[in-house]
Amino acid sequence: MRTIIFIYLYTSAAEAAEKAGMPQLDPSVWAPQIFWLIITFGFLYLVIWKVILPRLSDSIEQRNDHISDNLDEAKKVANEAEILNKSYEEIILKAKNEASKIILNNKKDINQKLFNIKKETEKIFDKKLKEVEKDINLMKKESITDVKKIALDLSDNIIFEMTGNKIDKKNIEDTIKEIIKNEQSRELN
Amino acid sequence: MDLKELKNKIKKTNLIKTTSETHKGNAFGIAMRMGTEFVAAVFVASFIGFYLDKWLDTKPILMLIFFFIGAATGILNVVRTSKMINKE
Amino acid sequence: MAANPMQQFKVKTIGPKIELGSFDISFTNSSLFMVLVVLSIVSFFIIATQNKSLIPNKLQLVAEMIYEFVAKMINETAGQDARPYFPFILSLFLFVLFSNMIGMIPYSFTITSHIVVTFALAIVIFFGVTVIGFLKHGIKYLELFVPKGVPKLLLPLIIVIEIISYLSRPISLSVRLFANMMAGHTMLKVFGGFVVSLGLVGGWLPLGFSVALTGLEILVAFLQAYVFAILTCIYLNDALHLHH
Repeated sequence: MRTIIFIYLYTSAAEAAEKAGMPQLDPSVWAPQIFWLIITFGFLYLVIWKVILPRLSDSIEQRNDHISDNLDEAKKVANEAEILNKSYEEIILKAKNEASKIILNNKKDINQKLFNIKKETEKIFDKKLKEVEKDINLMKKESITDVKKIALDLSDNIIFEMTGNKIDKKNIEDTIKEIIKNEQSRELN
Repeated sequence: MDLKELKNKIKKTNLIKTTSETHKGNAFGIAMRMGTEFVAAVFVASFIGFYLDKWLDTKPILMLIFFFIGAATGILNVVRTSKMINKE
Repeated sequence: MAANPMQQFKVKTIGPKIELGSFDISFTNSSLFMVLVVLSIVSFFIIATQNKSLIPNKLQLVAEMIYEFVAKMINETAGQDARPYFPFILSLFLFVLFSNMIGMIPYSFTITSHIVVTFALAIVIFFGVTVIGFLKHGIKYLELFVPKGVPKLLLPLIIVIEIISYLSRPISLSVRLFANMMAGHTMLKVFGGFVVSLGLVGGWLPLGFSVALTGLEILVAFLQAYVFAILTCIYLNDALHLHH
């Protein structure tokens, strides 16, 4: 029902303006408002379309460009940094491997050298030892002949003193040789 | 600056840029339509009925019929609006 | 300030009576506030975009926020195809918003509290959208009134309902804005009148009401501008994309 009254009010606007006291429903104020609305709103539309919007979108787009540029650059830099980081790690790993290799090789070298030195010294020692042995043997032999001579002379002298005779030297020599032989064989055993 | 920190920052900035474009916020605006929508439909329908009556000299039959059609339209509008809100 | 809360809506001629043919186009207080609204919008945006810097100052930030707000609203409700109508919808939103806000100032005039003004805006939108629809889809635009999947028997009724629904758009659009602005301002005036008439003794309660109501009215002023613009976008969407 209220709606019907509402409609009735609208259909006879001039009457309603008086009854409800609504200045909005007085048709005499409609024309000037519409006219000025067209003028002012049209002006506003033109200014916004031609002046304000280009200015606004300019600065906004500029900023968006700037931001996305910066973002892109940051991404690029981050990626580069990551690549650098990786290569750096690789280099370090390589260096570590190489170092351990070098250490291992050096160890081998040193061991080899030590071994060589040891061998050489052993050889030298052996040589010296053999020489010494030879000397000793020589000396032994010499001493044996010396001993023989001494024994011969001594026994010759003793026999001469005791008997006043000279005994055949050959005889004495044979005896001494036998004794020495016996001695030597005993020594060997 | 830490590399990880920088990367997180970049990610966050990108996230802000993308999420700000998908935000929906006009459910309230649609809800504001309901009451007037109903009244306007009834008004327009009755208006049509009123002038059809005048033209065909059938006062007030068509106006009454159109009043109810208008009410139906108003209800339909309200139903549509609430559907739209639910879809959001 | 008369006791009649309707007094504030009265249109008074300023200066001489001007006539164009049989039309009265005198400059009135309403015209004055229209000029004020447009001037404040234009000067605000001109000043705000004066020094375009990468890091915006406060004014520029507000201007850009409004820009983004309206751009987003159009994009979400009407899609990319509605881009060419951005200047119009932005103008519409700003005009209604500034009219509502300036109307909040005591002793000022609220342009949007006049049904002629809101109806003129709505009818322009209505015809504009209809023309766009026919230009885009030709005679097929009439399919808007024929929903799919409706039984044949009901079809005539549904078509009538759809046409009524379509025709009621400018009415609901303009009446909503006008009624909201008028009701809010009338209430403010009534409570304001109570404050004055009850004086220092009993005026505190209505004063409190007035303050609360003013806050609410500022919200409504913004909301109505938003609703007006978003409904325009929704209608535009119907005209651009013919599917229900």
